[in-house]
Amino acid sequence: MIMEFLISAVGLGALYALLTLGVALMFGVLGLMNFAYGEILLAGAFAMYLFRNEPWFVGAGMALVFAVAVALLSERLAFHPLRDADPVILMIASFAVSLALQSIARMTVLPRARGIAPEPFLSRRIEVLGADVSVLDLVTVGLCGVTLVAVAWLMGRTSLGIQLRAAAEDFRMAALLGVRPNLVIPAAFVIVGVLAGIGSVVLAARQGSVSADMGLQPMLIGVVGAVLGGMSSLKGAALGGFLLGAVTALLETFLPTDLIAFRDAFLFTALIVVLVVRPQGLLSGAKVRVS
Amino acid sequence: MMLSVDDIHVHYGASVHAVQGLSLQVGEGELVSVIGQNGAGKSTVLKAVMGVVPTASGRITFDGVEVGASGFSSVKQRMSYVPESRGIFAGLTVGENLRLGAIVRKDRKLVEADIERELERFPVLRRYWDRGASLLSGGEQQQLAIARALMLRPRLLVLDEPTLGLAPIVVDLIFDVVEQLRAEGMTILLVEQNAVRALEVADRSYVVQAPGRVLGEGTATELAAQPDVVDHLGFTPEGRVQP
Amino acid sequence: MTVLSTRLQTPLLLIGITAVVLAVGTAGGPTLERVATLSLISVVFVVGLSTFSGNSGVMSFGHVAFMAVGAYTTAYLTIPVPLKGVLFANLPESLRWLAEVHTSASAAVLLSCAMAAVAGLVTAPVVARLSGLQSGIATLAFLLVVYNVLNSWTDVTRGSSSMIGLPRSTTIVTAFVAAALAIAVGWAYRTSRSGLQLQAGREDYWAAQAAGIAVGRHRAIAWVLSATICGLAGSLYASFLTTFNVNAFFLSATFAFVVMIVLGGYLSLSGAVLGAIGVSVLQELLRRLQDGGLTGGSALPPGTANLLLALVLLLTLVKAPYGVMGARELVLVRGGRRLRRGAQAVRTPAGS
Repeated sequence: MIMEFLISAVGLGALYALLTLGVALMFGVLGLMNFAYGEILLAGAFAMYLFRNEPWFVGAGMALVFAVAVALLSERLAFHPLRDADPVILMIASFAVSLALQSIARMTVLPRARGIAPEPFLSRRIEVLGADVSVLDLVTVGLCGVTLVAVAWLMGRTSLGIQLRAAAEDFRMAALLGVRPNLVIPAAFVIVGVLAGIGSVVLAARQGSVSADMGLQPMLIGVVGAVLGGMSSLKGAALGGFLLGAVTALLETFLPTDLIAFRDAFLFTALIVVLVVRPQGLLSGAKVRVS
Repeated sequence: MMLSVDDIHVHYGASVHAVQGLSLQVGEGELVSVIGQNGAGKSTVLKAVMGVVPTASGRITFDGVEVGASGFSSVKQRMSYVPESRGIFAGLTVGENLRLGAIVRKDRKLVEADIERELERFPVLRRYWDRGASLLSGGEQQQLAIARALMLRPRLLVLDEPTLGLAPIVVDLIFDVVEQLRAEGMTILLVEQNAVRALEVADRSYVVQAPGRVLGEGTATELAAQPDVVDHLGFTPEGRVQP
Repeated sequence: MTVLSTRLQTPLLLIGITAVVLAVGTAGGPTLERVATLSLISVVFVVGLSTFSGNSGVMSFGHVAFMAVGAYTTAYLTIPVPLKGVLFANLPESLRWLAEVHTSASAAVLLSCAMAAVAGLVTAPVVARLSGLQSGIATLAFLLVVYNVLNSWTDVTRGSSSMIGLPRSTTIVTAFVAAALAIAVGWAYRTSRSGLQLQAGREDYWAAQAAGIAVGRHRAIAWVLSATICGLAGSLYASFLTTFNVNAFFLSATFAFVVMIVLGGYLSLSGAVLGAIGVSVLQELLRRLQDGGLTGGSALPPGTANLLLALVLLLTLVKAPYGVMGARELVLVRGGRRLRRGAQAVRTPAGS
């Protein structure tokens, strides 16, 4: 029982960390609070639906391709012309991109929710260390875990990662040292596309369906996690997302049912409080002022 | 002249006219300082040189080529900038910060050699190599910022208030480094609020007065002969002790 | 022209424009009257939003929550008591009185405004402290909280089931009167001491602070006033449609109002009014295009109207981020309609 709960909590935490990382990366590098993040995820889920009759790895691969393509397209068509705009203008623009992509999904194949039959092996349960655990939870942990490790390696060990982190912290100074906007911004969108693509595979498997508005909830989770963890540090944001997921799993198990309905109200009230009291996030240390 | 700033004007928004027709020159191998009171427009001139703030009119050329309006073009012309805020990335380690200074260089082997050279120059950076840069003190961050700027092998080093708010012992260390770099033949443009030290160390100095106008220019001896400069500074400049 | 009449030109012109909407709506058939009335209600809302955003330069994504507060208050106060007994059979003991209370239509409007003002007062301390993107996120979070409570507190709010049976007390004339009133109040605040100081803070926050202007306090004042006006819009909306659903007060409504205020120019009151009317007309046209009624052809897939609206907004943001009006207001000069630049040039508010 405890083992089962732990795996499902860690799985949800890892998934939320993934979602949060995407939001925080775009915010850091571009100052863009991207509402269209949910629709990048939708693009992945859309591919899962289109290729539902192919083997699962084709659908998952196409989900990545679709999500990356939509992320890059949104950058090119909408955010590139607004690169020097005020963050609030960018946020409104992402609102528009989000609605546009959702509308396109509605106009084509998703006027209403469509089911995707999950792979049979996902619904099985197996025994791990004497506990009865669902394969779906294990796959969630595995896939999200591997992705997080890969992102951590990319960010920590490669030149691109150092440049992205520098740009996320202080874009202007990074440019003065020779970090190219035309490299790091598209790179950030590609990474975000990959994160959203993997997120969409996991979400589609967990929900067993795709719909035009399925991106909203994951996007909001990403925003909450990123604000709680601290927007300026990717590590803090990922940690914030992980804790959010773990706490959500905890609440869903132990909170009385009639209070679970108000989970979002508590969550967003907490978000407002954090914004006012500790805008640098709960988890990041006191922000260093070097001026 | 290597760097030539010609009659530039800079505005902040519609109401602040921070620099009004300033000109200055820096020759190859020269150490030129810009001194003046707070708000005189000293830092703004450097920002204009680096393309961080746009100029409303006037020309800035480096080796006869007009300086572009983006930070990246200054890197291409091998100009390194240490801003007043130092621009250290708190989320990166000391080593990562240092490597970032050479991000545009392709000669990997020489980069490693240059890292070694800067660690010799600033031993404290070797000690903290793997630590987060946010853990450094102000003086250590300043050393890191200068070391990082040198990683570009710059043709012009632009330093904005490198000793502001630092302990006297660190101020001495920074000025020692500046002198050492000058001796190595580095071209340096230095903005300093510590006028006495800046006049001592510089080949030539510009005394700037709000709003961004040059009051006087020359070697310390030449400036000492200008009554309104002496009056404005409140002391008579003394230059370096010539050997 | 005297100084006084010059200062009154803009509100009078704007009220004149809404009067044209009234005239067109009255002269046309019932469909046109409905569209005109809803666009007048949109004018009330967007003028309310502009009272905050236009003066402070801070965008809010949460004002639809105030509209919801106004609409629900009107529902509680005007749905006939016998019907309420059926609709709210499971009210908790402490809120039992909600099923008994009943007021006249006009009292309901006033109380709806008051309730929205209370909601504004509760949230004002937050808004006073935040700027820019943080404020954008916080106001959106506020909307999400209100939506979640309305959607989940089923015993009291009927959750996702519709509110029904409100008497229809909003007519096109009352909508016009409310729009005119909102414009007058919005303009009065804009030209008041508090409004002008807040605009100074919009141009340069730190300079205003240094000059001794408590930007946060003026922001809070504008927030509460704008909440009140948006509560009025909610009340009118509820008693015009006589039935509404919680989903009317969520992201798609927010988006529609954001399009209106951005298209018109969110720093200007004229922009708010023109944007609200213009986008209402545009939305109606797009809806008919989507249904195929405009071209006589077959219907386009659902979502077409929203897609086009989103593209219009994106194009506006790229080409003219401060909308059609920028920071200018409509004025009449020597009989010809001309645009006059606002007191200050358009500049990025509270920005880099």
